[in-house]
Order: sequence, then structure tokens, then C-alpha cells
Amino acid sequence: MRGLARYLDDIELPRMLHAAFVRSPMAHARVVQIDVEEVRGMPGVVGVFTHGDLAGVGPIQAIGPRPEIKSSLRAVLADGKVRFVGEAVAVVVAESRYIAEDACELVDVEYEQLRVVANARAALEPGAPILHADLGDNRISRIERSGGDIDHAFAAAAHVVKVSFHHGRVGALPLETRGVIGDWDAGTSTMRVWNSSQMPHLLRALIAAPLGLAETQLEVMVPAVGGAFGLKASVYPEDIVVPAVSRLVGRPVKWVEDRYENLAASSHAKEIDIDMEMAVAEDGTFLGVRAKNLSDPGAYSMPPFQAHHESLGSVNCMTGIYDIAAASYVAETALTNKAPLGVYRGVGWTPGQTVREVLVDDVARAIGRDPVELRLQNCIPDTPYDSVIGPRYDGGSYRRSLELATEMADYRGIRERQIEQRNQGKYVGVGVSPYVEPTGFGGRIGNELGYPGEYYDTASISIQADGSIYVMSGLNSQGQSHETTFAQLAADGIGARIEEVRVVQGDTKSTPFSAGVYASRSALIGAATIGRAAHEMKRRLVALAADMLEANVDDVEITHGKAFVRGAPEVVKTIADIAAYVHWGGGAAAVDLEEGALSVSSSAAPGGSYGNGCVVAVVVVDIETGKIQVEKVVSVEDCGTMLNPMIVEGQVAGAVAQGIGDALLEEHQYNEDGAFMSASLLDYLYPSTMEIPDIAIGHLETPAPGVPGGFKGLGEAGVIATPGAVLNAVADALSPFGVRVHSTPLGPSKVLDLIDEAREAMSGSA
Amino acid sequence: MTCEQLHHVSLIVNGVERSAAVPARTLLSDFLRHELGLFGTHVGCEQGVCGACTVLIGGRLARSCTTFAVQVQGEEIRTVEGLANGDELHPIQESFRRCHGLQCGFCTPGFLMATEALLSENDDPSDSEIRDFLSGNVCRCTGYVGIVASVKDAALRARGVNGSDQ
Ligand code: FES
Ligand code: FES
Repeated sequence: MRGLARYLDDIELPRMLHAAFVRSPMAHARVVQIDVEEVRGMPGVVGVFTHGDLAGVGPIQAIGPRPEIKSSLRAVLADGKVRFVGEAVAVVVAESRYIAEDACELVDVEYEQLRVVANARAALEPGAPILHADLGDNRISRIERSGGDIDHAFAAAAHVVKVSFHHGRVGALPLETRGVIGDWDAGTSTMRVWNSSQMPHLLRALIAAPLGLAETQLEVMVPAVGGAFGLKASVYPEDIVVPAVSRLVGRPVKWVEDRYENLAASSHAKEIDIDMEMAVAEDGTFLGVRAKNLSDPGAYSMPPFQAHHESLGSVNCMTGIYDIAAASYVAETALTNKAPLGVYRGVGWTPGQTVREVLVDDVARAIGRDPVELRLQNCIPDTPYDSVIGPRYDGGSYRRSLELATEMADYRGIRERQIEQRNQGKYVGVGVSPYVEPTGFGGRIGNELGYPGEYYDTASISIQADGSIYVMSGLNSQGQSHETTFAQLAADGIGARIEEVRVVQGDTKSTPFSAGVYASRSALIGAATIGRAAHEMKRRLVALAADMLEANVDDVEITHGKAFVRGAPEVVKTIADIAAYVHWGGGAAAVDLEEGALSVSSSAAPGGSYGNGCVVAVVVVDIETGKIQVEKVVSVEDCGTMLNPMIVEGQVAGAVAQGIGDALLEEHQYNEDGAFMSASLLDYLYPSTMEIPDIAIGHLETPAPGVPGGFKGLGEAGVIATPGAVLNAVADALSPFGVRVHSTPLGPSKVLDLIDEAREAMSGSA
Repeated sequence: MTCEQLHHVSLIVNGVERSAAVPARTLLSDFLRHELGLFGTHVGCEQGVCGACTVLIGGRLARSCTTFAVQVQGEEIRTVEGLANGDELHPIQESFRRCHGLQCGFCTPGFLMATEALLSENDDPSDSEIRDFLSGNVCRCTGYVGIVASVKDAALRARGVNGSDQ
């Protein structure tokens, strides 16, 4: 706030050099030769490196959790071939970034163009160029599953409604781009790395082998992070190249991604085609749902996540909050010559939720029902519920959140005014999108959703001799206010004052292992690990205080940093008194020293939970210009027990804004030749103050069973559920024309096209 | 930088004269950050779009990523570091803290400077005036809800009315 926080680009080390990358202008080409001669002698240039100069460094490989998922190898600098525009071909290290960029211009790369795979459908056509010869073909994953009697459901249906939907390619685009500093210490054979990562421990584990180092030789530190949203939860070539070249030149090297690199060459998200159909009984009961999708993951698998995440994620949520007895899917992914798909808030769940909710509205219109009533009719109970296709919900407020959100948005009132307004030429629409989302991704949920694996996290708490308290967590913050949340958790658990607690995070040397911050893990896992450690710490403090107060442990209470005998609050031992007693007064004898006196670690592998809620959007569509104004968004959230409503509301509003961007504005575009068309923030549209309305937030709290404190966590719901609500509102506004929405983003020209198409169809059928 | 001609640039930054010798193409954002060590001004795009690098030059809002340091020779520059008075936050910063006007904080310096400029010309802006004025600054975290509330709160305080909940 005062400009004092230190982000990655604010770190300056003595003798530090700067790196810049030469990147491919071609979508698919053979690298015939790279001529760096002109650069070598340039004043200020310290080194220039290509694939051949980095012998033994890399490659990056994602390990597939299932046999149906293949995984590509990725050289850290192009190894004879480039597969998307922006792929790193060479790196220059120089005294300043300006000089390094000048030098990149002078590196002469000769390419021989190859045929381009422009989209996932083309990737599967016979005779399509194969991106990775060792994989045999471009189909990198294909997963099928079905539950219940799907054929019977469709045979028994009175109505079958279908949608074919394309969810556009978007990006997480945190305002701070990525960045890496490598600093090799030849004296101790240690690599110090600063990286704006969401997962310092996992990053360390994943870059150690490509760098040829043991994890103990690598220290990963994460400074303040200017937003991440999943973008900073993958492993990228620069994460490895920058430390590697630091070792080669013997000086610290910094690289900060520029916005072009961030847009073109970091990671994209969510591009997928989904066909979905619903079998519906005469009375509106949903009998079965079927989906087939094809995701375009770009040119490489991105570790630790994989190429199949959008396709598998989107089918995992295909039944949503509905009680549907049969479901089946085929989820496919095929490689193309585009930037790799990474993870971005609401992975898979965003397109899956959007398409299902658009389909439900299509069903409602097809059978002449109110979309809210139809949803309530098919809603699952609030008690734990096993869906037929994987997720096992642990109970929530599925029905109530839908009711509350529509009340808050004045759904009935809008419906009443809508007709009148239409007659005056104003096209107002309202759309709803109730959701369930997995939170706190852990082993149990991973298994339910087809990602077998087990994860654990650790937190530790220690009290210093003056009574001040350290909380060490490997979960680092990128704007989610973990410092506050975790300090509050620890203070509440211990009985300390929050002012006495200091949270340390984001440094692999001083903090214990964490599997990382993604998939809304922090609240739930923080609670499980820090909550438990705090509980144990309290037990020890009480034992010590009892010793000091010559009282029975059962009679001692500790709150707000003070211990006293219940009923006798005049005599007080502060945590500082107890800490001094342990450290200098021989009091440590009262606790088991082998346990570490005032230092406690606690690990947990929480299985995860499911949050739920509902988003309602109200839009006005200008049928002359195609412009959509989102007038109001209501978001009702049930994230279990709420730790701090202010923080929850901030997360919700930010995610809703990203959801509006997803639905209406944002897209990474490529042309048919694989050229990248979204190279600046003027081409890729970020939502500004003008597109985002006031957001009303309602809270419901259904504590998670089996999670300490009942926390479920949240963070992604707004991105997951808002696009569906907005698109449904647009289709609702334009229902007099019979418009159906089947792609994102829905920009003005697309809206006009939809109106024209629908008008033509109407006049054709009339 | 070895072969480039250096230019002596001298500016008044937050009331203090600061100078350094830099190549002509040095951006004001780089000058502030890497020559003067004032890291509070952030760079989000270097494309003139995001507003993270916003500073006041002679009282006017400007993007330091599309301005060369040599262009503003001798000018008065205000950056986010010039807002607080020692440990005491500037009232606008107080409002951003109280009303949750930031999450990751990366966009915040730009929004603070823009708010300072807005309130100096209009101490009672409506919601739509606030949104309009701030439309050149982007925030990826907050959805702007907390930011608009913070600016309203700051305006109330600037007019001597007590702002929202303490
Ligand atoms: S950094 Fe200057 S406008 Fe984005
Ligand atoms: S608070 Fe993160 S970009 Fe605004």
C-alpha cells in the first residue's frame, strides 16, 4: 500500500545480470540454424545460449496420473523444432534488460515452416501433422465414463435438448507477470531461486531434476506476488533456463516476463468444444445427461497439471446441483500449434458449468418452464449426495442458495417489468447459474474426480523467548490475505492476540512442505494444518501455565494472550511470561522436550470438500450495437464456516469480474495460420471499472463435515458460475428473437450476428 | 549500457531533487524503480494500458512506462512513496486499507495516484464519475468493488465527513 511490498522485479542483487529470450515468430517450424555471432561481441552482452549450450538441462515432462493420458516432452529451449508462436529459442544474458533485448533482435534464426495444426478438430483429422512424433498422434487424452442407465434415460425422454458450445481461449493474466531470479553459489553448490510461484515446494521438486540438482541444493523463495490465479502454478521453461544460465555465467540473473511474453508464451486456459444433451421427462424431470468434448491444450502438456484438465474437469461437474440418475461422457484432448493450456481459476469447471447451465435454460425455453422453477424441481437435497458420475458432495445449501440469490436479485420483479421494457425497446434479461465446486483439492476429491494421487501439507508454529509467535506455512499468498487468515487461525487456536503472530510463507528453506496454493486449497488446508498445530500449542501453554500458577491443567484457561486459573482472572501469566519460563526459567522440563517445547508441526491430508452457491446476472442488451451491459450481479456463496467475511467478499467480487471477462470480453485469438493475434492488452480485453457492476454478495454457511472448523474454502466460484449466468441473461433478453448462445466471448459483433441468424431462422420457418 | 551515451536527468521526486545519468531511451518507470530505487511504481504491461505505473508529473496523471525520463527533466514527480507521511498513512491509503481496496496490491499504487488526482479536482464524485475516472487503471483481483468503496470513503473523509465503519 505504501509502495513498500517487494515483488520479484523489486529484488536487486549485487552483480546481477538480465536475461531476455528470443522467441519463435512461427507457429510450427523446423529450426534450421541459429546464428548468434553478431551478438557474442556486443558490448554489455555476457552470454547467449541455445538448446545445444544447455547440455543436460531439462526437459520438462508432466507425469500422467492415468494411462489414458499421454504427456509430451518439452525442451527448455527449442530443440530443433518450434511448436507455437512465442516458444523460447535462445536466451541472451546482458548487463541490462535493454541490451539483452537489443541483442535478441540480432540473433538470426533460420526456420523452415511446417504445416500448422490450427485447432483440436484439425488435429484429429487423418493426415494432420503430428506435433510430437514420439506420441504417435495428436490425441493426448481420451477418457470415457458413464453412470446409471444412460440409454434407458434417453429412450424414455419426452424431450431431448442439445447444445454445441465453444468456450474461448482465455488467460489468467495476473497484473504482475511471471519472473525468475537464479543465483548460483559455487562455494556451497547451492542454487538460490526467486520465483513468483504459487507453489514453491512443488516448483523446487519439479525443477531440481531438470537442473541436475538435489532438492537440498535448491532454495526457492517467493516474494510478494501480484496475483496468480493459476498462471503461476505451472512449471515453465524460464523457471529452469534462468537458474541454469546463472550457473553458466557465475552471476545472478533476473528475468521478468514482459506483457507480450505473458500473453503469447506463458499459458492459456479453458479452450474447449462441448456437446451436451439432456433427456427430460414430460413433467420436466432431468432423466439423463450426455457430454462429448474436445479440448485444445496447445502444443505441450504443462506440469504438474496436464493437457486433459479442461476436458476432464468440465465433465466432472456435468450434473451440477441436479439429481440426475444417468450420465455419460467422452472427454478428449488434441494437441495444436498454440501456447500450452495451463490452469486458471475454475479449471474445467468454468466451461462445464457454463454449458450445463446454458443447456438447462435451453430446456426451460423448449418446454415452456420458468428456468428457476425447473432448477428447483430437479435440485438435489441439502444432505450429502453422491452424483452418478464421480463427485460425492458433502452437503450444502443447494436449493436455498438458488432461492436466496433470486430473491436478492428481485427475480420476480424483473420478470414482471421485462415485457413492458421490451415494448419500449429495452432488452433486459436475467440469468441464473447455481453451482457446486470442489475446494481444498486433496486425495479424496482427487480420486472422485479422476485424478488419483495423495497430497499433504504441513504447518509449524513456534513461540520465541519473548512470546512472539511464528507460523510457518508453505502455502503462500498471491492476494488472498493469507497473512491475516492464517494469523487469525493461529491466534484463535492458541488463545493468543493476533498482533503477536507473524506468518512466514513462500520460502522452501524455512517453511515446511506444501503442495501449493491452487484449487481453493488454502482455507481448508490452512485450517487443518495450522488449526491442529495451534491446538497442540495451546495444550502445551496450558500445561506450562498450570505449572507456573501451581494449578490443575483442567482449571487453566488461555485467551487473548493471557493464561489464568478459571474464576481467578486477577493472577495472569502472559504468553511472554510462559515463553520466558520455558526458554530461561527451566520450565521446559514441564513439557516433553523431545516434542520441542514451544515448537509444533502438524501435517494433514484433508480430503477436500465442496462449496456451493448461485450467481444471478441482470443484463441489458442494445440490439442496435450489440453491446451488453451487465447491470447487476448477485452472488450467494456457501463456503462452509466463514473466517473473515471481508476477505471472502473480496475473493468473490474479483472472481465474478473475471467471469464477466470470460463471458463477454476476453479471448486469446489465433488465425488459421497459427499467428497470435492478442499480443497486447489492447487486443486482449481486461474488464475495467466500466464493465463490472456493483456486486451484491449473500452468505450461507453449511459447515463442512470432517474438516476442522468446518471450512470449505472458495475462490473460484465467481469464475465458474458467472459466465453461465451472464450468457443466460443475454439469451433471456433476446428471447423474443429466439437467440441461443453457443460460444464465448460474446462480443458486440457476435451478438448482432446471433440476432440476425435468429431473425433469419424465424422468417425462414414462418 | 557500455556504449550508449548517457544523459544527466534530474527530477524533483516527492519533493526531493534526485538525479542519475541514463541512456536517452530509459523509461521513467525504469528510472524511478531501478535508478532511484523507488519500487512502489509498478509495471504491469509497458504497453500504456494497465495504469499500474501511474504517477503524477507536475500534478497531472501520467503513465511512467510510456514516458522517457529525459522528457521530464526538472519536473515535479509524485509517486506512491510520496503519499504517506512517515508511518502515517495518507487518508486515501487509510480508506483503501479500511474498505478492502486491494488484494495483491500490484495495481494499488496506480489507483492511489489516480484517486489523488480525482479528489483534487472533484471532492464529491458520484459512483459513475469514480468508475469513469478510474477506467484507465485495471485490477485483476478485486472486481473494483472494494476500490470504488475506498474512493468514496476517501472523498467523504476529504470533505471532513466521517467515513464508513472504523
Ligand atoms: S505499466 Fe504502464 S500502463 Fe501498464
Ligand atoms: S489488487 Fe491485485 S491487481 Fe488489483
